Formats: sequence, structure tokens, C-alpha cells
Amino acid sequence: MRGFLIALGRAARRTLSLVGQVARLNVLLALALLSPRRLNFRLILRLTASQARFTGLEAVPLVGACAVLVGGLAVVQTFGLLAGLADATIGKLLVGIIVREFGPLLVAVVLIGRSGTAIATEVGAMSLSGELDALKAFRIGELDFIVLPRALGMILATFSLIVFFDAAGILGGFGAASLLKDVSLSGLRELLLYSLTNADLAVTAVKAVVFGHAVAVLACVYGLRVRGSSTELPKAVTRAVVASMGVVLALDTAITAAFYML
Amino acid sequence: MRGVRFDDGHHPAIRELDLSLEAGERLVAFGASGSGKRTFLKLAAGILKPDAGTIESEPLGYVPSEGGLLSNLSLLDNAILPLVYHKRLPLARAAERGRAALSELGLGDRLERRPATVSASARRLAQLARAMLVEPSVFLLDDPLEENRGALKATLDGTSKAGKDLPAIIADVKDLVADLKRHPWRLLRKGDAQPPPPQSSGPKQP
Repeated sequence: MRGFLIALGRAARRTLSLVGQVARLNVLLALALLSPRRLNFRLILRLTASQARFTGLEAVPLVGACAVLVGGLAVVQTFGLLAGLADATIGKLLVGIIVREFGPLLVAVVLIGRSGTAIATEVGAMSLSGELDALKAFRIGELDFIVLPRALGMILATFSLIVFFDAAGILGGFGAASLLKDVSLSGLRELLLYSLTNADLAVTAVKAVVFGHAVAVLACVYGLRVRGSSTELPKAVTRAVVASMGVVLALDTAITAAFYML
Repeated sequence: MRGVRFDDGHHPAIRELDLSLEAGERLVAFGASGSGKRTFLKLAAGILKPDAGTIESEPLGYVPSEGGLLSNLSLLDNAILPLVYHKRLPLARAAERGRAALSELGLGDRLERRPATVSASARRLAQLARAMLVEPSVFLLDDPLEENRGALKATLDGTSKAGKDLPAIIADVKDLVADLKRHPWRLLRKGDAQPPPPQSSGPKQP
């Protein structure tokens, strides 16, 4: 019994410490963005660009393939299960679900699996090898040199990927639909015009910023905490992935509730 | 450093330390393995925060004994990083200065290589170049005797050319003798709350 309580206490302390570190980092990031004169733009831009390229551009094939398949499969299943409904209704349903939920969530999963692990590993390795110590000795802030560019790059990439996923998913769905039935191109245009609302566009933007930011910050925090031995590194990466998944889902629920239920 | 105290259970503890260095002085921290020399250096560099007391000195040139270069940047990019970050020099001019400093230390043929692909002494020299480019008021060298004598001599020449303070942590005094004969130096041993006043002649064998 005592052992259990000790373990529970330890886990609680670690969680609180993590939450505190994440909160502190977020506040510092916000403050840094509010006084941009102190930032070294050229350097940060260069780092942001390379992060965006890795997270965004290089993920395009994977995201594209996922999107087309998910869109197509969704169409196939809904047409089968909802045979009674009008085509236009089904179309509206699909567009809505892809744009509102599937897009952001699946992109987030790809993001966590590719970039979350990469960032946590890289930052963790830097911590272990003493690179972070050297940066500290030269007064190079880890906030604007490491965290900020990664967060910005992730946000940019996430937004682009979600939009790309939406487009590819809808096209994939349309492709599958045209295999099952006779659908026209103008029908697609009408579909898109009437299915998407202003809230959808706002939600896409909000989710992109929130997910990209969360995954980047969590990966950085877990990476920064690595010390002691190299076995700590994969542990940190795994924990970062699990935490990111949980946080993304929680945020997704909150955003959906805020925009669509109120 | 003034009234510095440090103890976190992981590193050797430092009880009470008052220390100030004049320009051109050398401080040698001497002691057995585990006596806290590296901890002292990290406190001076600002990597560790003391439990009590204040530390002042800026800017710093830190040259650790291993690690410390960003592994995905070339030696040149590593060397000019503090310059680009703090002084906001345009890349071309910073690169020029970086190339000059690195070539002077004999690394001219390896500028674009990553740290993992060059020898340990090359890495050490690159870190020294990085420190020199910052034009610091204090150099912090960790274990400068670790590599071959060529690198060590370059290290000492480099720092004396810069004409600055030089606290150094060493494991044994032998190779340092010739350099110490030329500069005023002080010796800090484990247990000292303050290093003794400077001496200008060669060191006594401890």
C-alpha cells in the first residue's frame, strides 16, 4: 500500500512539474513575441523555415496518401450504410466531418509521430551532450533559439497540412463517389459551397495553431528534461508522444465544443 | 563571485567562495578528481545557479572539455553562432571573422565539417575559436591538458593573445609551467574560500 502511494506521489509531482514547465514556457514565449525587438529575426526565421520544411513539406506524401484514402473509405462506407439519404446530404456530411475533425486530428497524429519524436530526440540529445550547457554559457537563450522557431515552424506547417488534407480528402471522396455513382464536377462545387461554414474556416485555423504549438512545446519540454543517461532519451520521447496525443484530443474536444455547441 | 554556496546533492558541494579576478590574471583550480573543479567552472559560466551568493562577469568565453558544439552545424557555423546571435552581424561578415579565427588555429581546411567528423582536438580548437570571437572578459577553460600539446599550446597562446583573464581547470600542473612563468597566476585548491594573492614567478611543485 505504501509503495503504491509513494509511486502515486512521485507521478503526481512529475506531472505537476511538467505542467509548470509547460506553462512557464508558454508565458515566456508570449512575452518574447510581445517585445519582438529583442529577437534576432534573421536567425529565428532561418530556423523556423527549416523546421517548417521538415514538418510540412516532407510530410506531404504521407498526409496526401492518408487523406485520399480516408476520404475515399469514408465515402464508400457512408454510401453503403446510409443508402436511404440523398446524395447531397451524404456529401455534406462527409465534407463536414473531414474538414472539421478528420483533417486536424489525423494531421496531428502524423505531426506527433514525425515531428514530435524528432524534436524531442534532437533536444534531448543536445541536453545529454552538453550542447545546451554551452549555449547557456554563451547566453544564447534556449527559448528563442530552440523553442520559438520550432513552435512557429510547426504552426505554419500544421496549417498548410490541414488545408492540404482537407482538399485531398474531399477529392479522394469525390473519386470514390464517382466510382460508385454518377457524380458531376459541378455537383462537387455546389457541395463545397454549401457544406462549409465560416465557423469551419475559423476552426481550422484555431486547431492548426493550437495543435502545432502544443506538439512543439511538449516535445521541447520533454527533450529539455533529459539528463543522466542515454536511456532517458527514448523514455522522454515515448512520454512526449503519449502526452501530445492526450493534450491534442483534449484541446480538440474543447475547441469543437466551443465552436459548434455554443 | 561573492559568498557563493552550492549543494544540490548531484555535484560536489561548494561551501563559501569569494573570488575576483583582475585583467590579465590566471587562476588555476587544482584538485583531485571529484573535488568540484568542474562544478566551480559551471557556476562561473552560469550553467549552474548557486544556492546563495552572486556571480558577476560578462561576457564569457566558455571552452568545455567535451561536447558543447552543436552537432548539426559546421565548425564555422558553430564558431560564429554567439556572434550572430548577440551582435547580429550579417552572416557574411561573421563568417569572415570566423574563418580568420579558425584558420589561425589551424582549422582552415576543416571549416565546413561537422563536429563529429573531426578529431577531438579539432573540436577543442573550434570551441576556443568560438570563445575568442566573443571577445570575452573571462575565459573559462575546462581541462585544457586533455588533448595533445599542440592544441594546448594553441589554447594558451590564443588566450594570452586575447590578453584576458584565464581561470583554468587542470588535472596536473606539469605542462602549464612554461605558460605560467610568463603571467601572474593564482592557485585555487579544494577547501579555499579565497585564492591566495598573485605570484609572478614559476609555480612551486604542489
